[in-house]
Amino acid sequence: MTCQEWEQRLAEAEEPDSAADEHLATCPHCREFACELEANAMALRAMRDEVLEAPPRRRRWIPAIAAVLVVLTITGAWFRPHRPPMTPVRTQKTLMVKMLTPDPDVIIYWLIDTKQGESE
Amino acid sequence: MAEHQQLVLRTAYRLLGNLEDARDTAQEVFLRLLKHAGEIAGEPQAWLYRVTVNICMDRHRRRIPSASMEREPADHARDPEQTLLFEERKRLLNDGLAILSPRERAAVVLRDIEGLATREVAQILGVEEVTIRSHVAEARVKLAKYVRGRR
Repeated sequence: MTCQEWEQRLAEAEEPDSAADEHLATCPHCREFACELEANAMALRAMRDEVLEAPPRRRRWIPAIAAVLVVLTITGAWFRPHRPPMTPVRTQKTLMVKMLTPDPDVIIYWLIDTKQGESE
Repeated sequence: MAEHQQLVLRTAYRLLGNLEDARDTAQEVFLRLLKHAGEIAGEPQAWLYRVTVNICMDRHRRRIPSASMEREPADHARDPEQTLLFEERKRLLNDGLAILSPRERAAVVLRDIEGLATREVAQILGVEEVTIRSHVAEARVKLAKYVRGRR
């Protein structure tokens, strides 16, 4: 067997292998490789004990607040005092606003009544 | 539940090499767990491993980008020099996982990091035990050469 084949056999070994032990006694290259495998096995096992941070909570209220601000801006309702209409309203249309949020599961719709005929 | 969360997060992190992607994967796994809770008999551990590996494989196939392996906190309980060498080896192994094929990575993560038996890994990945032994050996050889080449 070549050293490359011994490396494969050493890496596969899950139980004591007397033939491999005999080879290791006479081959410094494979002995070094076996030490490397053993040190790696220890380090890999230790990686299991590392504690990782849990998933953060999704902040669903951020897009909701942003959406409310956008609607208030669009409709002009942001701190506007009530004014009586100068002329009677003739027609009324409904505008639908669709807002996509960073979360694909959350889509926000608004129906906004727009009065027409005020300037006619 | 926290133990299961760590199991999923840790496995996903080792398979994807990126904590942000691992967190997304963990959320997806637990959403699926809620959906299929009634269908899982007994301990959900094997189910969690299987679904985590499948989602990570899907992400890999869809080539969702992941940053390089992140660094881990050090263990200060040992001799400082030994700790340094040990942490360096862990860091190299963590980086080295990225050079393995997805199958090899899944096999070595479940077998050598998670400490599952070859039979359990074979059941989770849905392949023969001999295939797992071959993937694990291949991965160990590649990791040993990777670590040796960088020290």
